[in-house]
Parts: sequence; C-alpha cells; structure tokens
Amino acid sequence: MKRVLLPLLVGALGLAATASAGTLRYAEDRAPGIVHPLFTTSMSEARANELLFEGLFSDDLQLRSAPRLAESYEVAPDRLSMTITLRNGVTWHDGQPLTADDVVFTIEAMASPRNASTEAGRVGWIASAQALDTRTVSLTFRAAEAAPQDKLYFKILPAHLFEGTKVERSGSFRTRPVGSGAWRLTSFNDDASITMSKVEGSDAGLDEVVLREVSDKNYQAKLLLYESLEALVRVLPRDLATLQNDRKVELYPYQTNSWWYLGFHQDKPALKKPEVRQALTHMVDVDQLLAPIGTGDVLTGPFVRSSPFYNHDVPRAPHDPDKAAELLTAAGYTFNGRWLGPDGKELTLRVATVSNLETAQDVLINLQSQLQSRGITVTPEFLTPAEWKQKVWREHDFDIVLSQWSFDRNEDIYEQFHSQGARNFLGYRSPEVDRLLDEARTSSDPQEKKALLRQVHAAVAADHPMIFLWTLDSYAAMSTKVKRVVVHPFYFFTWAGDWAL
Amino acid sequence: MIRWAHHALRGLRAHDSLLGRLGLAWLLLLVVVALCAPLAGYPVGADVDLSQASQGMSGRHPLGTDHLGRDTFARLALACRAFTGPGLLAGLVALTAVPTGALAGMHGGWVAHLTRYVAGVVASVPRFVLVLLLLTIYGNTPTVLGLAIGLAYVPELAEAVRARVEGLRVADFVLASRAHGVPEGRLLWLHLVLGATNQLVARHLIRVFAFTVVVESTLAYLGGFGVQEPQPSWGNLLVFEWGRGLGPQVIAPAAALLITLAACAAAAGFVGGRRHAG
Amino acid sequence: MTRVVVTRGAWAALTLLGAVGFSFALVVWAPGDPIDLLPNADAVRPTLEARWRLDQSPLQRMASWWRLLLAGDLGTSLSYRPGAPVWEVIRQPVVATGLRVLAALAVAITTGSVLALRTGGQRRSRTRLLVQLASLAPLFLLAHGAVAVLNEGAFALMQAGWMGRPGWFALPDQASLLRSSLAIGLLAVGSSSLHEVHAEIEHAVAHLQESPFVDAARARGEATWPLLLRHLLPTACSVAASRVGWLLGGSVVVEKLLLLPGAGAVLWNAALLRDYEVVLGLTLVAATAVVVARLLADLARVWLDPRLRASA
Repeated sequence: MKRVLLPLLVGALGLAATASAGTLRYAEDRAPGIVHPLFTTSMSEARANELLFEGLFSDDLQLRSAPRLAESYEVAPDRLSMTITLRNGVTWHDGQPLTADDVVFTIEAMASPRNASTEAGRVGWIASAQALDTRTVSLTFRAAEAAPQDKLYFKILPAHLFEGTKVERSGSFRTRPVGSGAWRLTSFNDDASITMSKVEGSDAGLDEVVLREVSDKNYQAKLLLYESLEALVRVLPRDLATLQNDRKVELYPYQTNSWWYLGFHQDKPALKKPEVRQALTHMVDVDQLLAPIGTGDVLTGPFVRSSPFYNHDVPRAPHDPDKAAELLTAAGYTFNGRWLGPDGKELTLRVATVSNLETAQDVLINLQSQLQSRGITVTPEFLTPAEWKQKVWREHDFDIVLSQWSFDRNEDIYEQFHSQGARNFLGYRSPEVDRLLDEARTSSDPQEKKALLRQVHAAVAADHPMIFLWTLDSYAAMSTKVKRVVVHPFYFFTWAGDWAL
Repeated sequence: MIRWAHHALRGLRAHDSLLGRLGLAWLLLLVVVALCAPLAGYPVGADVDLSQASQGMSGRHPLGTDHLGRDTFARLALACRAFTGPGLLAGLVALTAVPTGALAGMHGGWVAHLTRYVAGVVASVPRFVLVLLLLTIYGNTPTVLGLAIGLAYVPELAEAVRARVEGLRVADFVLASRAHGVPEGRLLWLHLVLGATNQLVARHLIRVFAFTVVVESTLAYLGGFGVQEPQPSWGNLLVFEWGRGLGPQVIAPAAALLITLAACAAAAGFVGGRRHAG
Repeated sequence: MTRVVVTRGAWAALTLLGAVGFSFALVVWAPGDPIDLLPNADAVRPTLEARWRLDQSPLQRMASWWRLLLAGDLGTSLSYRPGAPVWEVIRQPVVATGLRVLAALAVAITTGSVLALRTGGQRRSRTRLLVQLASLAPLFLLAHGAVAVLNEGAFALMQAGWMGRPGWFALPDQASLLRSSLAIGLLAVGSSSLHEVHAEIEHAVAHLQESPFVDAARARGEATWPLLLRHLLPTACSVAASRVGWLLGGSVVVEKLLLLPGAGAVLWNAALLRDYEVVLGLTLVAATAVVVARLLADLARVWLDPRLRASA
C-alpha cells in the first residue's frame, strides 16, 4: 500500500524528487552486485570502490604513482622489500583510526584461498607483510621488484570489522561497507541506486554522489540531456553528435589503455599457416571497420600509440586484396567464386564476440560482409559473457575472436602473449617472445624494459597471431555545472575529490 | 476421406467477415514470403555498404537503409523466416496436446486427472517466464524458442480439447454410433477430435503464432536473446536503428509487427468466436 | 463448502509442489555453471564448488534445495548480489511488482466490465474492436512510444519556456505517480490483456442477458445491471486468475523499459548472470501467485454461485 500511497502523495503535492545542489548523479549499465574491494567483478563496482575506498598509492594527474594512504616509502637496495609509512590521522568512516594492521590484514585476506577473493592475483608477488608499528608496514617480495609502488593500488579494508582474516561475501560488510575515501555509502536504495555522502571534514567539492542503474543505453544520453544526470562514464558513438551540440554538456576525451583485436586460434588447421593469417590481415579493411563506430588510432602491435613500448617503426599491413589472394593461393587455397581449401571444402571461419560489448555487433557484421564478398564464409557468434567464458576461455571453441584487452598503467601483456600466460587462449607460442617477455618482467631498468617490449611488438607483428585493430577514442560526458573535472582513464573517479558542483 | 476433410475445413469458418479474410490472407502472405524471399538471393551477411548508410526511401531502397547500408525492404521480407520457423515448430509441439486432451476427455478417470495435473503444473509458470527460463538454460536458438513456446501453450490447448471432448462424450450421436457398433477408435478421431475441435485448435494455433511474433520481437528488444545478427528479424531491425531517429527503417518493422498482430486477431475471430466450450 | 475448500486447496498445493519440482529440475539439469562468470574462476572454483555444492549430482542438489526450501531458506545469490540471501534480494521487488500487477488487474477488469456492460453484450461491437486495436501492440513498443512522446513533449515545452520542470521528468528516471500509473496502464492494456478481459466479460454478459432470471427482471421492469454485476463476479474471478500469468510476464518488459525496480527486472538481470538461486526463487514466487490466484478464483466462483455450492 505504501508504495502506491507515497507516490500518490508526492505527485499530489507536486514535490519533485530533484537533487540538491551538490549532488552528482551518474549512470551505470548495471548496479554493483556487491560493494566490496575483495570481490569486485565489474567496472561499475571498481568505480564505486574508487569513491569509497583508498589504496596505498594511486595515480597522480600525470598518471604516475603517487602516495595516497602512504605518506612515504623506501625500497631496499636489493629491491626485495620495502617499508611504507602511512599518513597520520586517517580515519575509517566509522571513526576508527587507520593503522598498519589494516594494511597487513588486507594483504593477507586477499591472498587467503579460503576467502576466494577475486583480487587474489594482485598480491601474489608479496611474500609477507608485517606491521612494524601503528604507522609503518614492511613488505617482502618473492622476487626483485622494479617499481612495487605501481602494484599497490588495491583498496585497504578495516581489519577491526572482521574476524582474523576471514572475509565472506555474506558478511555484514556487504550491507554496511566502511572505507577511508572521501565519500561513505549512506544507503542502498530501493531502485537499485546507491547514495554516497561526503564524509564530514573532507574537502571534496561534491556533497553527494548517486550511482543510478540505467540499464537501457537508449536512456543514458537522453537523461543527461534532460538534466536528470550529471555524468556519463562512456558515451556511445551514436550519441556523440547530439551531446557535442548541447551547450549544457561537456565532453571529456580519455585514452584508455585498451585496444581491439581479431585474434586467431593458432591451432585450427586453416589458421595454423602463417600465409593464411597474413592473407586475412591484408584482406580486412581496418579503416572501414572503424569508420561506422567512431574514431581512434589504428595499431600495429599490442600497445597503445602513446605508450612508451609502442614500436613506431613497425609498418602497417596495407589493405591489399590482391596480395591476400596471392598468399592464399600460396597456402594451397583455390578460388572459384569462393575460396576452397586444399581438401576442397569452403573456407569457413567462426568469429565470436561478446554480445554486450558496445559496437562489437557493428564491427562483426561489417567484417562478415567484407570477407564474404571476397569469398570467405564467416559465421558470427554473439556470446553472452557466460558462454564467452566457457567457449573461448575454457574450451577454445572458436576460429577467430573479436574482442578488446584493457590494461592498467603497467600495460603488462605477459598473460596474453607468453606461452604460459593465463589469458593466452589463442594458443600463441613463440620462444623468442617468451624470452623477451621474461626478461622484460625481471628487468629493473626502464630503458631496457622499453627496448625489450618494443622488440616484442615487432616480433608479434611479424607472427600475425591477431589483427591489431584500434584504440577507440572514448568520451565521458558531464554537465557543465561540474567544475575542475579530470577523468581517470580506467577508474574514472580517482581525482573526483577535486571536482566541484 | 476427402469429403470429410472438406467438411471439417468448412466448419472452421464461424464469422464471415472481410477483416477476417484479410487477416488470414496476410498470414498466408507471410508464410509465402518466408518461403520465397530467400530465393531472391539477397546476400545476407555480405550486404554492408557504408556508402549507402542511412539513406531514406528511394527507388533503389524502397524503405531506406540502416546505418551500415543494408537494405531495409529486403531484410524486412527475409525477416519473416525468423518467426515462421519457430512459430510452426511451436504449433507442432502444441498440437501434441490435442490427442492427449482428447484421450483424457474420452476415457476420463485417472487419465483425465493426470492430464489436468500436469497441465496445471506447466501452466503455473507464466508463459514468458517459462520461455526465458528455457532460453537461458538450454541456449538461445530458434529451435529452443519454438519448443519453449509450444510447451507454454500445451496446457491450455490440452485442457480446452479435453473439456470439449468430455462434453461430447455422452452426446446423443456418440451413444447412437456406439449402439450401431462403430469401433471407438475411429469414432474418437474422425468425429470428436477433428470434427468438434478444429475451430478450437485453429484458434489456438493462431494465438501461438501471434505469441511467437510478440516474443521474438520482445526478446530482440530486451537484448541478448532471439534471432542474432546478421539474420534479420523485425525485432532486430527495430532495435538496430533504435535511437537514430524516426525514419522508415524503424517505422516499417514496427508497422509490420502491428499489422501481423492485427491480422492474427482478425483471423482468430474469423475462425471461431467462442472462448470456452460452454 | 469446507469440503470444497479442502479438496481444491489440496489440489492447488499438489500443483504447486509439482511446479516447484519442475522448476528445480529445469535448473538443476542445466548446462554451464555460474562460476564461469567470475574473472578468476579457475582459481576459486574448488572453494566455491564445495561451498555451493555444485560438485554434487543433480539429484543430490535437488534434495538439498528441497531441504532448504522446507526450512524456509531460498538460498544465497551467487552472482547477482553475491552473498545476499535470495529472500532479501527478491522481497521488496516482489512486493512492488505484486502491487502493480494487482492494480493492473483491477484496472483491466473494471474497464473491461464497464465497456462490456455498456455494449450490452453484442457479439461484434465496435468498442471491442477499438479495445482490440489498443491492446495489439507489443508492450515494449507501446511503452517506448509513450515514454518518448511524454519526454520529448515535456522537454520541448520546457525549452520553449511554457512549462517549468515537472516533478515526474525525465520519465523513467525517478519514482512518480505518472511512472507508476503508466506502468499499471501499460500492463493492463498491453499484450492483449485488456482485450481478452473485455472479450471474456462480454461473452459472459451475452450469456447472462439470455438467462431466465434476467428476463424475469426485465419483465418486472427492474434495472438489469445490478443483477448482471453480481453474476459477473465469478467470471471476473476466473478471468483475473488467468491473466495473472500474463501480467507477471509483461512485468519483465515494463520494468526494463520504465527502469522500475521490480521482480521482472531482477529476474532478467539474474538470468543474464546465470544466478540460478535468484531465478529459481522468483519462478517459485510466480508459480505460487498463479496457483493461489487460481485457487481463490475457484473458491470464489463456488461460493458465489449457489448452484455450484449446492452440488459441491
């Protein structure tokens, strides 16, 4: 009854549920399943965590690591351990002081297999953590670390709210998360939105941040135009024009370390031959694939253009259908209307992508059309995230995948390209690349690392394990009422403390 | 045999109305288009032409093109396959309810109770929810869609047939035929099932078809289910151009949906007026 | 009467048990599993499989589900709201959707009855045609159109300065009377709900018009509509029961389109995340609602109709 009477009353009295002056409302496709840094599985959760929790270090405006909860740190000369001194006077949202015990607890809880944390991999390199006193933490590493502070971005949790190192999803922390960030979670609302209010004493310019679940992408840009929202994390390419023309909206471009690719399954008979892979690289018109979905930089290797590891000497494979035909013939294929393999059967390729990847549909349809009009049959498969995990990651049941990789500041491509890499579902194996990646991982000289990874770029480009596509220009959209906005390319809210409404 | 079939078919017509005839004609047209359109050789999967993107109506593209340059009219026609397939499969599955219901109605007793129970169990899960459930569990293919929709309609059809047959079981002409020594099997199939239930069954089949059309387009809107690109379906066509303005690319599939559903309603009225057996 | 209540109640309970078993069976024998969705699935698989008992055979899982259900525990959400008990996740959305469905039912039946009574039971009335046309469009089309028209219209008026910002703007974004009414109205009308309700009642009215006691009343010069209304109640009950299923299904679409936080939205999101516990919980609630509605309608019909009561 309440649910009917209340809207009735509200409507009758003409009260508007508008936001108060200092509130920033932003939209997410899906509300966080759980607000808990140990069990994060989606970007919307990561962004909410960015507002509520803090790590020992975070990015400064030049995207270099700077101390956050830490005040100062010292890495031992042998690079096998470090000592961190925490900032003075930091308190949790419930008033308790933040101490070194919390840091030790967090690391141990993340690593504990009993907790089944999704972040366990983030602390695998730490051998042990010790609280030397209330403000000092000592960490020892399993191997020499060149820049350990770059890996200490994970969020710190309050030890006093847990028993020992046991952390469960179903614990009370789920309904009342406590962090040390500038905002604290005030309520999980009925409509799946989350209200976060500024902590007293904080000098953040936003009094309140509200996360709203707007599951229909058609509404997101519209709601911003109608001033029902103040921020959009990612603008769909088709909405760019409308938002650009609106004077009350400002677009903020940001370059994420993520790039699209068409990955080949290295063990499939058709794609085993390097000539075939090369032929496909020449056959696909990458610029034409990019055109309908937005703007960006076409790549030749596994790094973004602005990355120090990008090898600008590697040339782009030109779109050359004749060369492609030559290569296919050299590989034993014949053309009579359609390309036929050595066994006489039509060359058919199954291309899989995740169905909720924005604009992937357009790219895949376009790709299919390109290849089919040149005689190669393409079967597109739009998989749900669950099917993707099963078919692509576990069963390797695909010919080609259309997807993207996103990297944090470290741009560590080991997992994707090393033959032992956990994310190398393409089955790429190159002893030379393995060697280069191993060396780069252990190198403590930034110049050496740069040189090694540029060699990796060249080697990978020559092997054609995938067609490198592009980095897509991304834009965030904000109401012009929000001032001093700088958007973090991955976590979005890292510098939200400076924003003002 | 032929005379009997002719008699049964003629009995289908309850209300002779223009709208009813038009409705049936439209549905038949859809089936014909679904069968013949693929023969025109439109290159599904190789039809992207960015130079023709988002065109309006013209001689070359009677209903314009979408934002990847694909012709709307051709895809609209080809889309008929998307639901005639599952629709017919669903109809076939639903038809299994007819002999089940008829047997239950004929014999009564525990057979009738069992049928009623099973029908009640399946019917307690709302149809759309059941379809969603089956699609998430068993994968998103037109076959599963057809089977799921058919299953969702089996209880209703079985119950209706059972009620009708039960009502006629003790009718005079049945008793009389029995007295004359006509064997029960032939009696059941020729007179009761086909003669008395043809209107009922036809009406339900049309409803199954309408439901398929609605479910297919709704799944395309909700996203992630239904016919996947590049195969066209009216839902797909709508959703692909959703949010890019109100041109023929959006209006045509919407209109096609509305006309088809109206045709189903008119045809259902044409076939049989009454909902319950009595 | 008591005997009727007991027998029909028992039948309903048995049906519900069957529906529960049917849903369990569908989910338990499903291919794939929810751990696949987690980023470090392989690392956490052993721990989670043991905790969520996914390593047991389907029959064992069904048995443990039954045991939990009979103890009142609907399980814990696996991936939709990890760690939250299913009951906590679905409680509020179920209430919200339930109220909406009841309201939509009331609207549909009232409107259907009023329209049917006005036409006096003519078989092929023009009103029937109009109602049919209105109910034809698929829900998502109707809803999308309504929202777009309202929002764009209001925005245009606001830009032109003719109107201040209404409380309900922008439509699906916040709770408002308009949003709730729109949802209820769409549910009542959409996917042929109103049309079928109207047709059923019209048919009943036509029947009643020909019945002897109405004739007698007419002969006596009395108004016939109070009599008709009273005798329509049983029909209304059974119609209501048969529409509950449709309305629950329609809620999924309406809630996604109007961004309403209800059982339909939760069902959809949980299904996408393969959160079987939540999906099962909601299916059970839906099946219970349908079975209970049918039972109540049945009992109401028997109680209202003295002939049936006498023969029971």
